[in-house]
Amino acid sequence: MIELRDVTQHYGVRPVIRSVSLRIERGELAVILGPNGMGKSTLLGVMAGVLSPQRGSVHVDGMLRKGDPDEEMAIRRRCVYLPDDLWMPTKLTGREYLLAVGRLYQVDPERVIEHADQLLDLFDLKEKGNSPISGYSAGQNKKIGLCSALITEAPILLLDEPFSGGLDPAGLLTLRKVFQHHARRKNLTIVMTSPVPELVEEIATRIIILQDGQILAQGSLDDLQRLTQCRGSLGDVLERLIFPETTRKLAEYFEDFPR
Amino acid sequence: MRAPLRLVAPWPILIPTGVLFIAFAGLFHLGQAWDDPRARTFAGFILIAAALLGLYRAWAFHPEYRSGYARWLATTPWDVSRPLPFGPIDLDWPDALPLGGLILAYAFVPGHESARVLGVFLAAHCLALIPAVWRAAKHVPAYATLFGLGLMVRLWPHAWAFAGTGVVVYLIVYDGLRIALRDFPRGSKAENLAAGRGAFDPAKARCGWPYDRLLKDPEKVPEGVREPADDPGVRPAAWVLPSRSSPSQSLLDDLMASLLLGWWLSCLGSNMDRLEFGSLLVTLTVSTPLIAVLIRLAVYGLGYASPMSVWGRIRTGLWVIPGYDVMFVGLALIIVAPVVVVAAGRAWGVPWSITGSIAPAATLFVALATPPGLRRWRLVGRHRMTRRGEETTGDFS
Repeated sequence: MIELRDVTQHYGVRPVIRSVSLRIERGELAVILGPNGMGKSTLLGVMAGVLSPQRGSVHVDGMLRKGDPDEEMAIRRRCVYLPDDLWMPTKLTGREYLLAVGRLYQVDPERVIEHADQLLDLFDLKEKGNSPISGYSAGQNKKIGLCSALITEAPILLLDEPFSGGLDPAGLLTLRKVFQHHARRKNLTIVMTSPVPELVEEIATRIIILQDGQILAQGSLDDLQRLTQCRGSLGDVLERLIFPETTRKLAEYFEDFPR
Repeated sequence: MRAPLRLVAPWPILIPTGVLFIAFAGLFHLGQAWDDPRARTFAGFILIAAALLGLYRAWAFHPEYRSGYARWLATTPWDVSRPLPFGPIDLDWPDALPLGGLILAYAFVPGHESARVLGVFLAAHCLALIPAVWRAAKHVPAYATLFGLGLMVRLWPHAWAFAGTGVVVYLIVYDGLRIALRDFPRGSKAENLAAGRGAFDPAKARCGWPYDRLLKDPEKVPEGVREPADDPGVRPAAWVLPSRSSPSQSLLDDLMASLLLGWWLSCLGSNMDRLEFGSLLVTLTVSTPLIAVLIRLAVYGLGYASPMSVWGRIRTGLWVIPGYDVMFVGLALIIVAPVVVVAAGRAWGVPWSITGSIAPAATLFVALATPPGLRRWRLVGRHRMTRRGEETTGDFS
């Protein structure tokens, strides 16, 4: 469970996140959506403990984030954060990297080896997994980064834009199914950001829409559809919520169009 | 098994270079030209390779030197009780392979002493780790390592003693490394831990440049925005006022820096021709005070002029203004220090090589440690603040 209480985060004078309170339960797959520069990655960074909010607090499984060194260590064991620009040791092979990360999170060595093989196979990296990461394409880099988060078997995954960065259709499909399975069956808490609603509307159990650093709306797709009185896709719902003026003007324009 | 061996050395560079070396070595052998002085070039080449390998082993594996690695590691549950995920900084069995290769190559050199390769490797490795140990405020192992490296230089002609000292120095730096890693990551983590808890405190809020400087209580400005200072009240910005460490720590650092200079000079001299070493010491004994005087004069004098011109002093009878002229005491002592050391050395019959090493060290100590400290001078010195390069004559003319 992740709980944010009245969190405000500044980088400079202007707050990027303003008084955000949020509670994400275990087993939820929450997606933070919103236009660029609205604070999605910042909110995730606050949850991950990479940023220290000027106001408010973050609690993970009842422990205060950055409150006490021992508790912080316990939180880090339970949380994996995957930033958009993940650093990777480029001299290691993909397989070695996964094994190292798995061991760092104290996963049983035999299980790590087995799981690494499965993940490499799943993401079509079986052959590439034995070459140094420096030779990987952008998409392969993204895949191996995602595998590194999955191999930790941590109960909480915090993922910044996991679907971007050149993933191929097979990779996108695999990732969606893995996330869906892990949240539903394994009770993992997954929080991710995404600028593209189409990729996540199918799997998200909760959608958090940010605008100007505040939560504009949150809930399941049904909840948001009810709120906006729009039965369309998540993209349509977002349009209504975030760009109501643009939607209205477009509707008027189409109505007035002679042919 | 393959991974550690692959990672411990920059093989893509090492292998082609090694092949080239062996080819050249073979040519020399065929021509039976090993007595050629050029053979020394190959010996030097191998020793340089050993040094580079030692540096690589520290820089490539220490998170302190790789910001991305450090940032990533700071988000994971790693602590010093567990090995670093992408390979240890301390030496391990895979290091034997590249090092063994270099030692083997060194065996081609006539009259070789293979322990020298090991010593050079250890010296470079320890040298590369000193900044990381130092930055963790572990000054004792850092200084001990620097003194040990000096001893290695002294023992250079005795290959086994040189290598043996290298092993001891490595153990010292390794201990420092463990202590330094125990605190990892410093700075940002400590700040985050402090800033992340409790209720909102506007004085701690990072507002960004330049707003942080306008906070009421500069003590609460987040680290990295200000230089640490502990005087209450109004204070100038960091570039005007240098930070202050504790006086005893500062004095100890000054003393250690001076001792290190003397020690390193003495160690260098033990391997130099007497004439060369003599001329080096004379040059340093003469030039160190001059350079120190110029630097101290620039640091203390630029922007902080005498409150009164010379003519003004004469006319008013205020020949000495203690609060300002104290600055010249340090300059005078810098000039006097080497003279006193040399004179005392001659009087007591101390060998010139020791006196000559002490003189620049004493000069450096006087230059660094003579009061007033820069901070005190700029805060309470009886000077007249001017713009740098402005006319410094007073109103009394």
